[in-house]
Amino acid sequence: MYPLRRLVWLMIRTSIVHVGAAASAAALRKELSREALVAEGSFDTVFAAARLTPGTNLIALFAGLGHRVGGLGGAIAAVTVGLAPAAAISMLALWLYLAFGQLPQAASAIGAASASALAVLVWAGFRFLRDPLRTRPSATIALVAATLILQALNVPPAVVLLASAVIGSVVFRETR
Amino acid sequence: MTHWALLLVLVESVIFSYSGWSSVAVIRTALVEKQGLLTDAQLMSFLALSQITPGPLGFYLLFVGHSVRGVVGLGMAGAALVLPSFLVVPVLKILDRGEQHAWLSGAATGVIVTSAALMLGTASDLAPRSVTSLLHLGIAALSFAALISGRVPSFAIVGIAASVGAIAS
Repeated sequence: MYPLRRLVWLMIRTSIVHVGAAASAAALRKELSREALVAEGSFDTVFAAARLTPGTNLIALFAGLGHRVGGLGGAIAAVTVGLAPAAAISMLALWLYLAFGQLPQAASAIGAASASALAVLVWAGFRFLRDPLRTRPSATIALVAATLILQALNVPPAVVLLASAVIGSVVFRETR
Repeated sequence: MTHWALLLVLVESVIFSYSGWSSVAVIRTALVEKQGLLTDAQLMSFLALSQITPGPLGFYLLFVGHSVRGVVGLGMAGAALVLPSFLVVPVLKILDRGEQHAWLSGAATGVIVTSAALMLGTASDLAPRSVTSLLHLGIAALSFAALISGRVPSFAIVGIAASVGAIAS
């Protein structure tokens, strides 16, 4: 049980201190390697699996590492106990937003942060397209154009995404 | 909207995303445009909050769930975020066996490309409600430039923007 307890503690620490999956994952990799809990090669395999798994990369990474160390129980402990403190801090921030968000300064701060978050959303979208554009530019551009047209026609996003998974399994199968 | 319908939307948004924010298109379509349970302003605020709070960016769904259905919605959002993550176990089995997973990674790439396109399309819909002044336009432009430079982490950029907004009020 000791390795699992130590793993979960490291997960708690990295998820509280860092924002976003990439920073948390990088910090966790360093810690796990230093304590010889999970070898770097094994960590990288789990990270690759997490990136292929639907949903949030960090949560899937925690589940995969927890499974490596402690089976199904380890996976459950990792995603619940490992992320609970970060989730609690996030909810505290939400409470502060709900309690004080109407104050002029707070509302102005949130408005400015929202404008900045919009830039982050656009940047993230372009960043995700960088690798596919490099390896399969025509297919990527075609899929992006088709997606935007379908979105404008109000086709449900889930339908578009499901179709893209099927198309991608054929069109992009050699790129990753 | 029933509890089950909300849970379905939350799970759907997570299961078809490969990163924290790529679920935003599904959430916006279902909860803002169709059900009117959220406004664009609220959604953008939640995205901004998730940028400056610890944990994965996908935690913005906790804010969405709580906003729509209180503690029950919060629990549903938590379940929606956590349950799909266990799919990593069979994916790991495939990778460990060294099996050909070209189709799996190809499907993931297809979803990532479409998610990115949906994010850009959603951003264009959200822009008129998020950029409402010259100050906001300047903040958005400078934020984008800082992100491209790669020198400043995104949470710091959003945090600085919030500070500028508070000072300028």
